[in-house]
Amino acid sequence: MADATKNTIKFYPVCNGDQSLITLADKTTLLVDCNIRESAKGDDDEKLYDVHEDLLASIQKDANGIPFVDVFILTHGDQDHCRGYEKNFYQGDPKKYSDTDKKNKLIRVDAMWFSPMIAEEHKNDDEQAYQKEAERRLDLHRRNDAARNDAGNRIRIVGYDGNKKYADLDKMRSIPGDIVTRFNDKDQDTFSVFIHSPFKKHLVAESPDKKNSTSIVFQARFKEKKSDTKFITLAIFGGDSDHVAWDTILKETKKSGKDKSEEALNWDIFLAPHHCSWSFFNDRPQENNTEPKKTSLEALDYKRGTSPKVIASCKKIVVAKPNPPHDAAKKQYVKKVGDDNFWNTTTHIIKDDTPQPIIFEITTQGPMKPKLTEGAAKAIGGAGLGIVNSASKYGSGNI
Amino acid sequence: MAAETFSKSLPEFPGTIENPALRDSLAFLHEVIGPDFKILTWDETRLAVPVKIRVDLPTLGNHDEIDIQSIEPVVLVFNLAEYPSVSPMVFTDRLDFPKDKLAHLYIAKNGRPPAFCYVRGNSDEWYANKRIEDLLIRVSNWLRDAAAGELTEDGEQFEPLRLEGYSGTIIYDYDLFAEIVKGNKSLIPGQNYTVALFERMKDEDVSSYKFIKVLTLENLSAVIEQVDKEKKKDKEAVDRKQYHYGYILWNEQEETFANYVIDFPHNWEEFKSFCALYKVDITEFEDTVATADGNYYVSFPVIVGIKRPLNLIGYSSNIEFVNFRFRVDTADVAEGKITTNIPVKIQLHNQPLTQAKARVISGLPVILPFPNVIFGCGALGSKIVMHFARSGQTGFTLIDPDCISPHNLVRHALYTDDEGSNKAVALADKIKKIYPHEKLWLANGASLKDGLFENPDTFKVYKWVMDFTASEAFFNKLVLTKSMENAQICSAGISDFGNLGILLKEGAHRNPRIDDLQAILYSHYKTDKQIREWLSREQAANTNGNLIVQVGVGCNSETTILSDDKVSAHSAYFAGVIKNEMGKAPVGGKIFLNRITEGDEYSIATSSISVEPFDVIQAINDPSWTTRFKKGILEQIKKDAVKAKKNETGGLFTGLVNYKTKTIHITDLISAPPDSKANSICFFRGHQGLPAQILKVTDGSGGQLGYIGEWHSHPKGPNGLSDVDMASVFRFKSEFAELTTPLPVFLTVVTPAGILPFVY
Repeated sequence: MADATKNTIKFYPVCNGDQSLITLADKTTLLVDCNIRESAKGDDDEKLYDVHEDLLASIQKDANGIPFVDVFILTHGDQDHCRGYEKNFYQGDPKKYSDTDKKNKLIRVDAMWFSPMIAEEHKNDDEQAYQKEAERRLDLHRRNDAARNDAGNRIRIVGYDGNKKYADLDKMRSIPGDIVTRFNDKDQDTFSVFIHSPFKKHLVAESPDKKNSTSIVFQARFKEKKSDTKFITLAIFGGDSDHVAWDTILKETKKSGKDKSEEALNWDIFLAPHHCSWSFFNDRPQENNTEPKKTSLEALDYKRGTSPKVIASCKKIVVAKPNPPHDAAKKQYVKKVGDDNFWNTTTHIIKDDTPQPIIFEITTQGPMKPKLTEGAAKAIGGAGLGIVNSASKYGSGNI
Repeated sequence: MAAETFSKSLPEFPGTIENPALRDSLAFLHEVIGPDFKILTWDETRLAVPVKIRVDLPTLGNHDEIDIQSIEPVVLVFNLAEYPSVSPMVFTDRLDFPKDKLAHLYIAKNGRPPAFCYVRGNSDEWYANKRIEDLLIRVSNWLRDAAAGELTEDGEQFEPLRLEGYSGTIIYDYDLFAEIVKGNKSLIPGQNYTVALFERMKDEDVSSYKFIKVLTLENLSAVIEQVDKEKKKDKEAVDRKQYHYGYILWNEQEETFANYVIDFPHNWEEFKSFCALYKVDITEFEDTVATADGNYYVSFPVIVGIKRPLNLIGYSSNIEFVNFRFRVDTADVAEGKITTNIPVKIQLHNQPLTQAKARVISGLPVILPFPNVIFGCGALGSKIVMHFARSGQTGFTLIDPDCISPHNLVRHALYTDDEGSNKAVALADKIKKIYPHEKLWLANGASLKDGLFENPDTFKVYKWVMDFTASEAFFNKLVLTKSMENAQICSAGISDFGNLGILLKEGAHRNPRIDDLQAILYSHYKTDKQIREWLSREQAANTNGNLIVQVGVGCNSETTILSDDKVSAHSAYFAGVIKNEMGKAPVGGKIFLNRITEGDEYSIATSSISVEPFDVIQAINDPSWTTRFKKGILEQIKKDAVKAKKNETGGLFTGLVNYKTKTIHITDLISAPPDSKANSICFFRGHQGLPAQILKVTDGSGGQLGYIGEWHSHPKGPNGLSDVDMASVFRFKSEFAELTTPLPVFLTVVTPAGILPFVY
């Protein structure tokens, strides 16, 4: 179990999908994407980790008992990044959050990060719901509504506009190269986010993988003390970004000099984009584009320390079934960090056949797995035990 | 390449294991370790199991590049007979383990590797609630923390050496010694050591020392004289002190050292290596010991100060002291050198207790308002005083005229060694010994000298005046004292056969006063059954001539039946209450009660009564008398007078009269009886049902409260007593004079000019 007094990053096992939770020492939470499958809830499928229940246990509740995340960052609108948003997160006027909503365990998103890319194409219900909620909030801000800055109405625009224009709300916008230090109306001294993507040129380009090119990419940065210049952990969240996006990220970051002044490309944790897809290294199919792009390999060379970690948030990687994840992509990562430091969310920690989240505690020596939890000599069974919640049959005959 | 392991040198365990708990744990380890599982012999009473522990290492590399590896071999050592009551010890199995870089390692002994200090506190206690699996987790986490630099509780401070196997104790003030080292304050200028005088503590099995003073060129001859004087005393003399000159050594350079040692010196040669490691030059020290040591006894303390890069955890500076005891005889030295490899023992340092530390340990770090004066250092007072003193609050003047008698030991904070001593003096002496190196604001005496009590300057400095005398005479004296206007006064005692503790705390500017609070407490017979029953018991005890315990009687009497635990229960409550009240601005008065109930179950319950200031009016005709009305009574009679419009009206007062303080406390009203009559110029107070009402008061209050006077109104004047009123006064007076305790005639008239009390 992670130390509650420390900053942590948790990568949920959600098969081919993304869901990560950054928790700061002051309990502020940043949820990056969600992939909450109904079948993973409760005991419906014991082999799926109940991410919804874990999320509820990991976030705070306000004075009225309403669970909330401080910030929800939707990197892009693909189903495997926003599945379950509509059903599990509260949408609408936060003042109207009802007892029924509480009973349904709906999570309030105090501040949402919104990429205008979502406004371009919203093809699934969850993405549409996110877009609708964003528009509701943006409208409050446009109208200077008195409640616009209330928890549940806050919003930040990340990246540039596509066809739909939000220029009148530029004051709420962060673009690539910006560093965000304020989260849910609270300034952070030792935590910041460096925005890497999306870029305008990818938004306007016509390509079948446009959504992926325009995924939000950011670097989460932790310091030990405010006055420090050294970062104790740098974690890159790549969304579904592809090699095209990364080519631009590298060029633009180096051009600005922030690769050096802000260590903006460095990483200790690298969430392999698009679920360990070959698209990070080159165009697909891999068979036709077997050589990884130089810029993608260069991005991986910004790793730090003795054992930087690559997280593959995807199903088990097998050679026979690439689509993603790609075994070829894994091999490239392993070449850079070694097999011991390439961690797949489906296979890295398994308890009773169920994959478990990968958690990092932020220490002065970089991210580390939390301490192991000791047991005790005394034990009791709790109400949650399966046998307590199911019938037991004894004897040999039928009743 | 696999690291060289210590366990390779251990022989296999040849015996059988009878201890079933140990067998279980070994079976578990066998399952975890697999075919490599081995049971080895550690020593005669212990066996060893080598285990490889997987360690999660930090992403950015190990802290300070310490060589902790992802697989760390360790040895678990089990006590054959005492496991699991005795927890397993865990040793590193790597011969090249980075032991000099880590705190939380025990000293290596007998050529063995160092053991991990894997639990803060007692590992046996920890293991009592853990399994062998948990120990493996604990060790893995320990190594993880070592790699991450998180082994130290506070990264901003330096973790001191983990020492064990002490032989004796040495008591000195860390700050004083640290100042010597930091300031290079040597006895002879330019040297890197100084000399201090220590006294060997009596009744100790091993040599333990207490620091007395640092030698200076100024006090040198006086100290030598002091030491010689003790030397000359008869060896069997009870008061003979064993003085030892001890040495404090340090490195006079600014260089600091972060490295740890786990091989501690056991002899002179190893001591020299130890000092060399921390660049502490021993040349001059050795020369002095060999040629000019003034010690009469062969053993003496030697303290080495190591300069660390950060302040030590729990200390105010970066100097870490390691304490040794040397044993040097004349045959061990020659030509300015220690020629024998003399034995060296490690001693435990104990910091003398400071008041600040006591306050922190007691959970109240602030200094409570002081100085305060305490009257009464008997059973109750001594315990309350000690509650304060032990928690670092010592700003008291203690006053008590009595001496400790053997029977006092049944329930007093002092012991037999103080028999015959004045209680206040002995108590102050004991408190000073708790904080031997501090100057305390603590005074004591048998009594205040003549005239001092009434001198307006005497109590000016005191914030609180506390009465634990259990003396009614002193209670009255406190009531009458005019020199305590600005002090907060409280009085506590034990009643009801030891079962009721009563603390009366006055309000601001002595209103309500302690005697008002006492009267209010009695008046609560009306609503509190327990108070009613208590007063009834007290009345019965008095009536029977049984004076063992009565209201306010103390604990000094041999015939008083009262156990120490009951006095302690009350004194602990009172000390807690007073500490709490000291932190507040004084407003109203308060009565605190601590009730012990004996029966099927022994129980203690507390309660409190808040009391508003009394209305105080001096008697119009005789200002030596003061009338003190409970809040609300004057308002009520005014209301009644207004309600009667043009007619006169009246009623009766209940309460008590104190001739000693010449005070009348009015605690309640009785309305005019139904057969009373009135017109605009006359009030005829009837008596129908009145005796029954008065009886209810006297019975209910156990005789403490009763009829004390009357009031009537003069809506149109006169602003004083009329002739008719005076006739009644005379009639009453003649009757009251016949009483065993005569009652003053107390009449109050409500007039257009105000409320006017008269006392005859």
